[in-house]
Amino acid sequence: MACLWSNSNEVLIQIPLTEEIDNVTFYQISVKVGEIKWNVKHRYSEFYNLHNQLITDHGVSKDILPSKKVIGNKSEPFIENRRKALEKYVQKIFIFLRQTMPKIFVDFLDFHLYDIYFLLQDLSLLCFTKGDLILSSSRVYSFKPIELYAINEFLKSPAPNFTNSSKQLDLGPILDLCSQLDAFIIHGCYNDYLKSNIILNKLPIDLSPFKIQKGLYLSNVSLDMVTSLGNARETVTTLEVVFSNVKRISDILQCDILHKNTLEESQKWKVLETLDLSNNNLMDIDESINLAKNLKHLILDNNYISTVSDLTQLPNLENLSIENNLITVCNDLHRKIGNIKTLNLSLNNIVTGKGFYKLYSLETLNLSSNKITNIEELECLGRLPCLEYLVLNGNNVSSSIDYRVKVLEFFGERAADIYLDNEKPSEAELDKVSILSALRIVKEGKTPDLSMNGSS
Amino acid sequence: MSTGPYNYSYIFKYIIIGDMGVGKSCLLHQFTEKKFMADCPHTIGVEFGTRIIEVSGQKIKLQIWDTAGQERFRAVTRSYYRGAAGALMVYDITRRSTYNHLSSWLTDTRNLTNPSTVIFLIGNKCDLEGQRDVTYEEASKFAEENGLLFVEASAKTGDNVEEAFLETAKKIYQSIQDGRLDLNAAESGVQHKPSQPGRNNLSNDQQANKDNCAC
Ligand SMILES: Nc1nc2c(ncn2[C@@H]2O[C@H](COP(=O)(O)OP(=O)(O)OP(=O)(O)O)[C@@H](O)[C@H]2O)c(=O)[nH]1
Ligand SMILES: [Mg+2]
Repeated sequence: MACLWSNSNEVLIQIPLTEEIDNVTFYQISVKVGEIKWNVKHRYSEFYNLHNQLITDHGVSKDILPSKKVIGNKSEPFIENRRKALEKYVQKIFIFLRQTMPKIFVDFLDFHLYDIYFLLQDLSLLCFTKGDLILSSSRVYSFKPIELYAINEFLKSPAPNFTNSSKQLDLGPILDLCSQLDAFIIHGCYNDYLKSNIILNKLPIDLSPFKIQKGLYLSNVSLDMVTSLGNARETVTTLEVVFSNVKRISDILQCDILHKNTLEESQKWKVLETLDLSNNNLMDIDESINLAKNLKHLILDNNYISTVSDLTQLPNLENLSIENNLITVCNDLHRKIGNIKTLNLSLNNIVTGKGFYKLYSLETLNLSSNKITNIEELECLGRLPCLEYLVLNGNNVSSSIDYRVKVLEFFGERAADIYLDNEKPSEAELDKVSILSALRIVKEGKTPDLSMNGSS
Repeated sequence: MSTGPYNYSYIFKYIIIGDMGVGKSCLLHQFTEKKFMADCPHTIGVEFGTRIIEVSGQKIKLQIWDTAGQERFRAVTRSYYRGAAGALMVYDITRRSTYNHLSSWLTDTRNLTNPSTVIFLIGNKCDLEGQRDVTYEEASKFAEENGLLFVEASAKTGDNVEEAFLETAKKIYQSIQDGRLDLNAAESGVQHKPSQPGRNNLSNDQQANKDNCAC
């Protein structure tokens, strides 16, 4: 990211190109500060307006802007001459104004988008004027990595002395707002940032100056670039890291740690209850998940996970979602996720419900769009005492004859309480269920009493 | 006017300065969180904290900059003096060297702040009576000679921590009331709360000044 105050001798401003858009000629200014480059386009009239402002407010001499010409201003030689003249003009103006950098000139050259100081100046003003409004409404603010980076750089370096405003740049309003937000959102990007050669996801993310309160939401960021999580491990109750190409959970929960092979006490996420890592490239649920002992909700949708790992070290885990992954077998799940209440395994390759047979705390099970073809594979679900919501649509089995009735029959007396595919059984279905179970009793030669107790 | 949590009239800016390890960050933490941080890392550059307090029935938001005591950050921390309405200058009563350096801290403060900045001297770690290296009388005399407010405090037990921050605010508030502190001056370290989004500082200040005159 650009930093004019520490690179003021390495600035190059040119107008290499012109471009015609809707019959108007735009001059493309290229600004280079140290290693950082960006472009900004302006038409002649914008130069003209800038110039008039600079004459009145900043003592720029009148006759240095190439003059207006109304007729013949579309000819190539004319444009070429004007391009050269405007280039000289901005270069001259910059040398004249680089100590003071008036706001109007900052904005004309887009310094406020790419330069640490001028970007923070705008952000500080925004936080000062809108901060309380944000806090009294959504309590959420979405940051770009460039803003976080600018704040960190500014806190670590001596402040520059531009005199474009009466007050020096004050980070107080920014940090004040940050320390009170409920949710801290960071949106990254791997492409060039706007019209510059800055890549947001190559900027380090250091959260130490921010007192993050409850929620930390990262989207499309590069976890490698997180150098410090600040106080997040002590305070964050909801962590969301999505669309960030993450392969391992340790890359997230230990993103600030170099050697991720051991789990240290100091790395624990003390109050984390909800972890959403949807839309990444996770292949499994690795050991580092145990750093979040208080986890209640774990959401891993749209990854490449093929097995459910042992999660018994997370005693409070009640909601697990691994939708749209690569799960084929899940045997003896009660040995891995004993206390689960809600389980979403929709859009996987599961062929049987047998592995769920002892998940006695399960209340909601979503197995929609899997590979279950055989109704018998679901029989054991009928013996789960708390199960009330069962979703099976999108499996082959759900298009078989009498599918609903047959599934409901597994629940015996409880059939009436079951929401199957989001619907309670109809009277007709319940009648059929009782007929079917009566038939079965006769067939199997058992006494009605035994079957009523639900053991077959 | 509503009395929500964001309802305060002024923002006062403070800095906390003094040698490394005297307990600046712990004092800030004790003041904002009411907790003692036993193993506090050295401050890098500057850190920030805030709390809303009440002085003479007025709610005031303190924005506090905690600076690094280490010499190598001096260039960074110097830029935070300018906008300060209050400066808490801290030494450690168990380490004489931190007391001996006060005159150089004071010179910096006087040079870099404005004349109305309130300077409060804190002798920290007064819970460690057994290891005392600077007497109360001596420091008290130094404070008096230089026109500073003074207490001994402990970031560990919380003794006198509130008092130091609140007394400083009272003193600043008095200066505003007396008209000694000009709110519109660029580096006064005092601002009115932004009342409406979109309005700029200046018009806020003028508006509020009018209000003040009326009562
Ligand atoms: N006993 C006691 N120890 C204290 C007290 N205040 C701070 N400490 C300890 O002193 C050490 C340094 O405290 P800090 O607050 O980090 O010091 P600092 O002035 O911020 O240091 P720098 O950030 O390097 O400038 C820590 O180990 C604290 O635990 C106190 O009032 N009593
Ligand atoms: Mg410190």
